[in-house]
Amino acid sequence: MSSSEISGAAVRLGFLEYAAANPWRIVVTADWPRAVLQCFFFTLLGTVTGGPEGGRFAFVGSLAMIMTLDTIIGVADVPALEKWVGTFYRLQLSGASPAGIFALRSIPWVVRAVITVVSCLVIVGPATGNADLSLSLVPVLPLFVLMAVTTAAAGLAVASPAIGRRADVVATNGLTYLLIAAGGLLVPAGRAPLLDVVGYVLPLRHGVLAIRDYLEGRPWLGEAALELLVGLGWALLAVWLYRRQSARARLTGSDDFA
Amino acid sequence: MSDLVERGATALEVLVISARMQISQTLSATTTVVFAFIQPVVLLIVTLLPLQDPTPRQVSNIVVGVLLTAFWTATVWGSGSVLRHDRAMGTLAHSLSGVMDARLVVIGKGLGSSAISIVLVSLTVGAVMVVLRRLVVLERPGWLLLGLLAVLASGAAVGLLVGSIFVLTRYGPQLSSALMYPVFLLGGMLIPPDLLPPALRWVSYGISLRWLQQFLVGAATGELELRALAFAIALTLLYGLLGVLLFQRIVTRARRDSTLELF
Repeated sequence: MSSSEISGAAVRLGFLEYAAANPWRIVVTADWPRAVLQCFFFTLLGTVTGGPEGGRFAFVGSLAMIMTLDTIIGVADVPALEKWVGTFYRLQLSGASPAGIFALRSIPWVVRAVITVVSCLVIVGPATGNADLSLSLVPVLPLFVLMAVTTAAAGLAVASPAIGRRADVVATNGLTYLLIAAGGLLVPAGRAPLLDVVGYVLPLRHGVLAIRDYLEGRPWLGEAALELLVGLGWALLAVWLYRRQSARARLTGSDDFA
Repeated sequence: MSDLVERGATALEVLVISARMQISQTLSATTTVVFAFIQPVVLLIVTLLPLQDPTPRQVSNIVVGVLLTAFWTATVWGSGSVLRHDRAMGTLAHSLSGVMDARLVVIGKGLGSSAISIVLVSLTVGAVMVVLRRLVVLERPGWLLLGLLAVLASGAAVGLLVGSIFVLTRYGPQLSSALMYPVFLLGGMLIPPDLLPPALRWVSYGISLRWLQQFLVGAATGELELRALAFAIALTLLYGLLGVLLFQRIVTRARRDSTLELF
């Protein structure tokens, strides 16, 4: 098979395994309502702590936050599936890059994250009195797409060392909550210097700052470029981690992420 | 009479053994780290840091709200998942065909899960308050303790009720996730009901955590609200009754269809 055929097959497999594990009736009745309600909850929490302005600030952050349900927690299921069904050794034997194959198979989750954001723009914005803000955010949807990709890279990276240690739930939820605390999503930058330092190398933070800059009419391309750079860093980390994991598995004969 | 006492003692023993077993299980589960440590820490950070000069009552309100919010997560993933976990491990059929009433095992495990969750979340919240140097008032510690016991009972009762629903579907984890945020929103713990659309405000009256929040904040700040405690206890009894009835119905169906092993 040529590399383009392998890539096409990986993308098809990604959509097939996603559809098998996530039937529409469950996505529509459980997954999306949860995401919309989570966005609703954190937006209202912003109103509780910071009044109407706090609510608007939190709405933007919450939109970015709910993507991580798909791009970190959902994406981590892609390599986890290899462990559950014991097929990692086949991927190793194929000679293809595990990180690359996992990335291609994660595309359905990235698509779903963007659809979730659009759902929240349509539902949560008007329901919390932020309909005007929802409309203002439509032109920056490409930035949300960028953040979906950068967080998916981070999701793949943290899943790599965690799956073999059965720590994927802690690692993926831990990263998600770290983003909530340090990503500038709900706590304005400057309130806690330590969180600002940590947040600088995390995905979402610069993307959300770019969106806030855009909304206030300031130059925003610099922050968007930083988001891209941070995402690239996480993607390279993921490639290195899976490569190292493959080398270790060959050495120790533990081909199932053990 | 002595027979009744002996049966009571045996039932209590089953409850305690089940609770201890669940406590060990909860302490070894990776999800415990999420709901007992990570979630309360982050919720306290995002609620306390944006506040400028909060009053002790505001801080108490947030602390109790975070405690109950994390406790609800623990209930959904802990006592609410007891039946699902037992089914996955193959021990549910053994409980159902044992000589003791299986409900004792399930309720005991629910109580164990709730008890360890309250302790762990309270320790985390206390540690964060020390690190952030925020003052919390605890005016009526005795009533606070009573309120926490009501929280424990409420968690076990809700766990039995929702756990009986989760076990009916293979998509229990998705339903567990979906159930968390409606209660976060409507339970009146961190979001005051008056911020919700008017059509949804009445829902919080049927959620015991709303009344427990009101009672615990009152006990912490010295304004005792016994009516809220009474509502919480009444709702807990209602959840428990519905849970027992639903559980019995599911077991009867499993026996009738000969699917006890598969449930």
